[in-house]
Amino acid sequence: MNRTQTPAALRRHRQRGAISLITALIFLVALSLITVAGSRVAMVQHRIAANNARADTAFSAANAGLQAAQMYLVANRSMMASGNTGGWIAGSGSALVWTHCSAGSTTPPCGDGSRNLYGSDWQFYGPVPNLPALPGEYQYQAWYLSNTLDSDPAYTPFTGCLNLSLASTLPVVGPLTGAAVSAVNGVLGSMSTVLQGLLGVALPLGLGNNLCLPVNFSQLPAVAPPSRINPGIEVVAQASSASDATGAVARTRVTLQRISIFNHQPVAGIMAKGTVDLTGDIRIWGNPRPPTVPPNDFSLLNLNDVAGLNVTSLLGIDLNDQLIDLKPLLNLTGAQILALDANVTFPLSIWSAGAVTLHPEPAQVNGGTLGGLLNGLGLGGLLGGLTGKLVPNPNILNGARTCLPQWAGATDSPCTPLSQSVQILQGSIAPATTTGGQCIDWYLSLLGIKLGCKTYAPVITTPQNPPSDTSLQLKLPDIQDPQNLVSSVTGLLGSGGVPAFPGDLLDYSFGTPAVQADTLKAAATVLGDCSSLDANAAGLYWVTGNCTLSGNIGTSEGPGVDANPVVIIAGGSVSLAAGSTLNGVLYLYGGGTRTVTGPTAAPRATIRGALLADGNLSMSGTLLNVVYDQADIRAAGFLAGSFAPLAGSWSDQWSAP
Amino acid sequence: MNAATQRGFGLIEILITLVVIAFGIMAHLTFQRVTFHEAGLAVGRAKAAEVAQEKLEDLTAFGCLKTGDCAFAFQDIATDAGGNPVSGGSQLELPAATAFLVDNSSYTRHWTVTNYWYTATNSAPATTAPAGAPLPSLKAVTVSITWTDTNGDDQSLSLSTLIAGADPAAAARAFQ
Repeated sequence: MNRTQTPAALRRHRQRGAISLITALIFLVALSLITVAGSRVAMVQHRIAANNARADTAFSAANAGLQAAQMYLVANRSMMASGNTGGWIAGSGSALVWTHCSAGSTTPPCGDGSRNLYGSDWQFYGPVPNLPALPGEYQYQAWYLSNTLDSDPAYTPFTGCLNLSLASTLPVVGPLTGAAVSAVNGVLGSMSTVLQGLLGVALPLGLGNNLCLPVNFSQLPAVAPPSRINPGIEVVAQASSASDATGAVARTRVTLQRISIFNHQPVAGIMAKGTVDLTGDIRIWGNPRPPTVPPNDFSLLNLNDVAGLNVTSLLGIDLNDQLIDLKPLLNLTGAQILALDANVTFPLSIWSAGAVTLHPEPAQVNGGTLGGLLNGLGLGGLLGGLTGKLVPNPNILNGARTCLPQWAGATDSPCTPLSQSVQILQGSIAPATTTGGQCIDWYLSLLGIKLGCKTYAPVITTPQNPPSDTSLQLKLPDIQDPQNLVSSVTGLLGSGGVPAFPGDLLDYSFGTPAVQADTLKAAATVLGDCSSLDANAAGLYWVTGNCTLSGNIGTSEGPGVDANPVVIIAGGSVSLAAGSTLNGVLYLYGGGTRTVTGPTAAPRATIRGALLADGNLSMSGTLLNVVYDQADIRAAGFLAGSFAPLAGSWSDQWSAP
Repeated sequence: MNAATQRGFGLIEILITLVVIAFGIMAHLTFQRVTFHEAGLAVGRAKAAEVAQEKLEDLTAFGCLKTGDCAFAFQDIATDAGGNPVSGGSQLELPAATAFLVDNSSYTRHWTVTNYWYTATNSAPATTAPAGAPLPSLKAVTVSITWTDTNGDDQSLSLSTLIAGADPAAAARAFQ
């Protein structure tokens, strides 16, 4: 048998082996395909997990941006809307200021990278500097956005009062500009001294020259008052990897709401949880400004709420007549002129838990009843020129009252305690008549010639003795809370009666119970004394030792003035040097008897805002003003307050506002 | 078909084929092992990120600023300290350094905290407490999660954020 294989047989043999190899290879290829397909699923899973981890990191970083931006805003709350040095408003000279978004801008912060989200009416500040870096490769940037900031230097902020200064030029700042201002100044300059006095122009009371003429700005010509205290700031943050350009980018946004430090704004010039003992020439002033924003307005009554009420008759002088020459310049109607002089408020002077004692003033007896009464009406600014001196007004709410000695007698003799339904104003309202009342609307008034009266106002008289008909008495409550607003003359006291003094004044004022006072202290700038405080001071200060104030502490709000009133919580006694002004709220923390001392020589010292005491308050010194100023209290509250995210405003998706 | 051909095919080709298939399957198994390991790692990472996020959220949810004013205060947040306690106890709900199981894997969490104080306007924050030792403005928190993967290798993941020292009670006042 020939076992030798032919080449063909050999080839056939190899081919048969090759077939099995090819089969194996096909099997392997199939296996590989299954493997690759399976691994693709695993890879996608892997990628999803990695992307999730990167997104988590990026979102953590973006959220960190929001948190840091919030606290930076709190730290710079006095700068964010300020045109002063270091301020963020254009014109302050700072390197970084609020800038308008370019129209149609698609890049952050005004856009989301592909579309525009904030139009050119929005302004942004950022990227916010001085924010701490995060560990790791993901870093964030943050911006503030606002559409309510006033950053136009040509636009003079109007804060709700015509500012009449003692300067010879009498600048009137507000809705008037250019020629109108000069014209008004001319008119004011030629006014009678009586009218100047009415306007507070010739105010000789050492309150400075920054008094406001109350103006109902809701009725002023169409110049919208800009909001220098922003209700809300948008914060956008974007986080991305520093090293990986294609890595996750997270964007978050939140709206920060500005929050006052006050749980309740002080409702009186002086609030004390104990007794109040005043010695010397201490003058407590009503609110020299119009109410600000209801229902934050804690004023007792806005006379404009009372239809037809005319304060001019109360004054016995026809402001309408006197001011008529200003009408064309101010572009006001007769009714608005009436509003101009009727928009006064009735703040409480003293609210105490204990008795108030007013000691006689040494060496001088002053204070006409009219002055005291009208000061109680908050008309101090208007009447400054009329009375040489005002004394503490009689709006005192407490369990028992000691009468003003110079009025009641030579000694500190107690007088009848006030009942719960305190009758503050010894005035009355007569119904409108065709003849007796003040004319509030003339048929024609041209060049002083008036052709008949269209509408008469009810008359308020200021009798020294209350009228016997109690239905005609204008009864005012000492305190009015927002839940108990009054809108008519009758029933002003409301059903709630006079509220009891807060049991915990710290909690009432700041929302921090006295036992948690350390929390408030931790949020404050803690000082040993007050020597470092000056006009640039702003925010919340906690002073552990005795406090001596000199010069201006903080600034008061006014047209063109960026206010930075302060909130000082003092653990020791407080004294004010001659001529010093504390703009803001002074809170005397801790029980016992606390003293506030004023200067014994001119010029007078002033606390413009409010004075609060946890215990008994003893004030001495001969030349001390306490001016209850709502606008400053409100501004102080915001400057010492904080920003907090508005619930529900957080989003990780940008959307057009 | 003759015997010679049958003999040659049966042994050599099958052996060669087996060797080829064995190599292929070995490679496949190796690949699968790596894939499973990676998938396990991915799942582990995702879990770790979840766990880290959970702790960050826990630390953010303080009830007040000052220690003692509430069960968990902002001031309590420190390295490996702080967080909401279990209800009715003082033990932390999500404590540090205690191994815990998530889907049969053992995880451990730690966190580090850096404090920042804004003490002046327009300035960078300080990292040392200013006079009077006020509460910090911000706390930078890095939560690190460590775990052992299916290979027995140690793995870790960290997540960082900043927590603002803002009083939650003040935020509630925004709506008054």
